[in-house]
Amino acid sequence: MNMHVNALELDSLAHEAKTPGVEQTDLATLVKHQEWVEANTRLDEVYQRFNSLDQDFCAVKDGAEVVGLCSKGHTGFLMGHRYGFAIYSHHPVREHVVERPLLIRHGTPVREVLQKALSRQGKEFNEDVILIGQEGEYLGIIPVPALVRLQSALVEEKFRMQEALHQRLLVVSRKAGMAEVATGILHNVGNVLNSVNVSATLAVDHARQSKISSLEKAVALLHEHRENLADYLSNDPKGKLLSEYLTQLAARLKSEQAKQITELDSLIKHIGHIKNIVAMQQNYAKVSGLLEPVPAAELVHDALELNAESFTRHGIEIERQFEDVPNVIVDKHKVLQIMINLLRNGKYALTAGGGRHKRLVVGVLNNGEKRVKIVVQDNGVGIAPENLERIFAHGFTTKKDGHGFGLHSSALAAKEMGGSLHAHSDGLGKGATFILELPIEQTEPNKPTGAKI
Amino acid sequence: MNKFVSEKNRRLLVVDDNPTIHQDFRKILELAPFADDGLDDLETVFQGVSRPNDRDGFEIDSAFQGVEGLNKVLDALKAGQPYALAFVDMRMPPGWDGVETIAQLWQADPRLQIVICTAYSDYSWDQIIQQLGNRDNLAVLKKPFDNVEVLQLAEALTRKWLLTQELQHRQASWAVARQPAPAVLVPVGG
Repeated sequence: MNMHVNALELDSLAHEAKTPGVEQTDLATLVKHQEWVEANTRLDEVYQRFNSLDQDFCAVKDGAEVVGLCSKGHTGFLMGHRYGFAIYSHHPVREHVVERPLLIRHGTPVREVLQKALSRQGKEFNEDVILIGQEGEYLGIIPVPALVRLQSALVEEKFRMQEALHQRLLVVSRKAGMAEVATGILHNVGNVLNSVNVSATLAVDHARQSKISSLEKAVALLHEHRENLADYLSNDPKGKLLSEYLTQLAARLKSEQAKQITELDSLIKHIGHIKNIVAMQQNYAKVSGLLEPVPAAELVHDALELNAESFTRHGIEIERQFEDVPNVIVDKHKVLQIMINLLRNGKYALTAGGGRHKRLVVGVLNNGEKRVKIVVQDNGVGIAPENLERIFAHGFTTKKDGHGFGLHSSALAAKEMGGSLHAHSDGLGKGATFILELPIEQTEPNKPTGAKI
Repeated sequence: MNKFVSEKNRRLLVVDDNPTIHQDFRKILELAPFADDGLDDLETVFQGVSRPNDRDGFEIDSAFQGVEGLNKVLDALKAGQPYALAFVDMRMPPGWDGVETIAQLWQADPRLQIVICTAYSDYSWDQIIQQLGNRDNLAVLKKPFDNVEVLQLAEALTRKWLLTQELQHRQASWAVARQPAPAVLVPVGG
């Protein structure tokens, strides 16, 4: 179910990514001017025109049709004003328009316009673009700087979208990890709840069937005969039995009480158990973002605990190799997220491998002076050499129902904390090792910190 | 009554990997009467009513893995004291799961009534039926369960075990009685 929600979330993200604001820019708003000249206009007239305008390019029209673009620079060169004479001044401008002018039809997607304009090279790249209407009618000139600004806005927007997408993927991937944990918790709490239910029901049953009301009646009898109590107790057929009855009743009430205490005790014990399960979960429910010194072994231990149910269920043997290491400086929530990811991947690699002996080695080891490394090693399906780098890429997965951002976000999270995440495998069928390196406390480098498990 | 009435069978087997669940079943199903202290007779004198008859208790055996459950069922058959009913948990790592266990138990004793107990199922009902077939001696109990559910399932299914035994005995005896008749039986009203 959780995966289903994730898929929806991803769909909506993908949808958003496809419809950013810049791409919807109306091309007409980019038009700087609508200057044009007739195709038959003499070059010297066009040159004068350019001199009176503050434009570098203008369109050339033959009737309604746009036949080209002419530039101030080219016209000026032809007019030969540098040399004091002009050979071509009588030529119509039609003969000297820019070759392959870029005509863009209004309504063309921005991305396509940019692609066409910016893929042109050399001299052509510096030419303005002519915007024409649906019927080919001239609408105006879009200068190159406007296109460049558009392009950079687009890039910026894309970058921002990816950033947002990444942030949300982190959240989704965290949810996916938590769902795994939640399943284990459901099972554990569910079992304990069963005993809670039984004990509570029994306690109520005992209370309902209590002999308290019998005591009430016996006391009422005593009260009824209070005037001649001695006679009643020694001579009345019922009265003679009353003392014995009260004695028996007292004994019964006492054993009733004992039973109830037993049930209530077991109730309290079971509720305490549920409290512990919930407390461990709560410890990680909040996102802190805070880097703090934490015993690495404790984090790894907790991650293993949270997955313990699932490991047992899949018959996976866990071997712990915990060295004495200094505290790591991390966001413990992030590390837990990474560990859950790695353990889950390990579990997947082992179950997919179908091997008889499923073994996961989890180690917390010293790694030089500045780091601690946490190693998760499985003897499962292994990783093909060509995939070793790709497994960290966003969207890469070999799982049937995978989403491909578990390792990606894990590697990023490790980096954010000043650590790293690497993978090693000798190939398919040869198992895999993931190494998470985390920075350690630097203040008192020589003080060893005992890590409790 | 007639000679085909089988003996009452209130022998149950609980197969679950979780020891506290066994305790739960025992608390609900086993009678834990107060010591016979003569209070009940005195109650009759003083309250004028006799205590309503208590139900009979059940005899409960425990197995913590599927294989152990199967062995208990086989031993019980050998001893001529089969179980009437088994409560089987769905998840029992590391051994057989519930479905596998049930298949094995039925292979040993097809008469056995079985209740699957599940908190979180790895199987859908369809998958269970696909693997075990659509049987009339299979019931489902969801954890966390209620005491009365367990009690009533145990009462009803042990009774059903008994009735099924009687029915089979009778059918067997009719077949013997009719032996001289033609080999082909014509259904009544057929």
